[in-house]
Amino acid sequence: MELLDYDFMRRALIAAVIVGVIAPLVGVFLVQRRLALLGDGMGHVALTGVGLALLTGLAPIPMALVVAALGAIVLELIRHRSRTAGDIALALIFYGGIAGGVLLTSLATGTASTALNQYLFGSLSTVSVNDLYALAVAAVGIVGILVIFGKQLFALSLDSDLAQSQGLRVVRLGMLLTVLAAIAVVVGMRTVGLLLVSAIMIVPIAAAQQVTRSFSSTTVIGLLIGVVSTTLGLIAAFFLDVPPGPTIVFLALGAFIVLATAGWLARGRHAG
Amino acid sequence: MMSTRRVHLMPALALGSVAALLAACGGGSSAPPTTSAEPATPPASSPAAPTSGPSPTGAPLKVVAAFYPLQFAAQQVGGAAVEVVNLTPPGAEPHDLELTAQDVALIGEADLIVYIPGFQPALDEAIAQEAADRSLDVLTAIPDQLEGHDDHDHGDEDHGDEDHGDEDHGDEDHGDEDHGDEDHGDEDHGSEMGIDPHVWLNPLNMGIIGGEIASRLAELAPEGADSFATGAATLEQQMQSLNDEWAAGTAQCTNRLLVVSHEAFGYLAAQYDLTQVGISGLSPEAEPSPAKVAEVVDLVEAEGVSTIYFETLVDPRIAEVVASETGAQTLVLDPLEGLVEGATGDYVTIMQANLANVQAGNGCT
Repeated sequence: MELLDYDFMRRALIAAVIVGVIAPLVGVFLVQRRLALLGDGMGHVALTGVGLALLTGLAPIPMALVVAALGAIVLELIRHRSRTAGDIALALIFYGGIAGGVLLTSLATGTASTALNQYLFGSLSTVSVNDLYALAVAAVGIVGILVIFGKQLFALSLDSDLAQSQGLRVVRLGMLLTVLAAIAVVVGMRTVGLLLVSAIMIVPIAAAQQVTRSFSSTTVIGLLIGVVSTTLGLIAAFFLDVPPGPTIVFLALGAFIVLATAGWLARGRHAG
Repeated sequence: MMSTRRVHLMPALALGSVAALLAACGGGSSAPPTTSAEPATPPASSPAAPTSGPSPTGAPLKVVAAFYPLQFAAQQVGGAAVEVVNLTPPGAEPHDLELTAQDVALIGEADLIVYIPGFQPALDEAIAQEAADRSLDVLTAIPDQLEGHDDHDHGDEDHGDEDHGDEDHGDEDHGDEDHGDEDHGDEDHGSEMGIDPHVWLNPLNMGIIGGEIASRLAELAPEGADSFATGAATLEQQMQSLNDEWAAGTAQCTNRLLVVSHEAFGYLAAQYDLTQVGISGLSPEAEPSPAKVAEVVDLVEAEGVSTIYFETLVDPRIAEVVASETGAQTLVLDPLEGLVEGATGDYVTIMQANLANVQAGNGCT
């Protein structure tokens, strides 16, 4: 295929598949825990990390990762210790992240917005070999942690009270999950763009939920939708001459609409 | 959710520290001898800082320049009789300009604001509200204005889509929701106006801009009219000789294709008979479509282009992708939208550096 003649398209395709697998895998837990906007929130917390790096002269990407992970931990603490709902806790972290990023960057005189952009944002069209390594490492880490803690995280996501009564350390598990998501988002935004990674965490899962009941079938179908929409979206973007990120997100949204309609029709027949 | 717009600096702080930095460089801030008609002026003076010397006729005129080339022109023309403030801090991309309260106050107090409409939406709004009668739109004087998307075969559809593409970079702008008010800033500045705003990359246009500034300054301070006219004439001469340098330097090139990361160089290309090929359109930040990247790759290979140019203030990723795909090298071609932080050169020396790179990259003798 003509498309595979280009190295950058091959890299983009690999990145698309990795994101299509990993993002829904993390996202299914987030959706269950009502933290669907975590991706965007963490993307903005990472800004504070870059601001801090600019101010202190430390390396921006590791700093963004550290600050996003800390933000994730604080998020869990807010949720558990202050009886604040997930979406409010997210909002607090989100706004704090933006404010911190803007303020710190302002204080780090001279290095302006474009510096932030180049540290933080990528696109499927410009994925480099190093970006692929970063994505692969994040992917392996995420899958590894899910293999080890998957069952516990599953119990936590289904019913955290029940999980606690069974002796699981729910706060720590919650932190683990949120930190995982934060790292996925920061690595993803750097390589393929924030919209893509945060939307593909959530939209395929939301679509799958329309027709599935169990957590595991939601995960499998969500993953499938994730991979199909990232790869098809990238290919479509290539032939239609449009940017890949939004094309992929629209495909996933299309899957949501189709499945939601199907689910609605199915339930309608059931009731009638 | 709400999102912040692009991060910007507190200018007083930024400018102050830049001034300090330049001072620390021991006169590094002064323009090179070939270009300096006036005593050294820091690239931008903080509003609070004392002026570099009152003009003989009283308090200096306060001129606010939207971004670097306009600041350069205003300083060359006005000399010591004007105090020029650049709204875009060094290191910042002028497209992203966001104004602080102090900036707006500055615009409110300025005697003259020199700007290019459609280039920096935040500034357009501030001028409309604060200083419509004291603004100088330099585009009006430029002959042979170029259409926004002249070299871009997919033209507007492409850009229409790239506006969505911004989502992907999306939160680069820190927020999807922002698009409502942010988009125009990024991508549409060309198409909204229908005119490519990057006029300053033709040196002769800089001479014209200098003349415009001189006549406006003369209205404001008739007693300085002669000195402004002299300043403008000097600038025009400088620009004429810079133009001659470029014309001679690019007369014979093995390749006349100028492959750039964003299409800022339309005026330059037109002036020196080069053909600009932009990878990501008029705005430096639109997410490129893979098809566009592939098209440029094919063109680079077919035409034997050996160099992809990237800019100083924008992420070079896209140029690097094309370069690594084709085995081309990358070189800087500075669109002069702003100085990089700590830069010691000025318009003339940077344009000369650009010429050297084009000569090297395009095989000009």
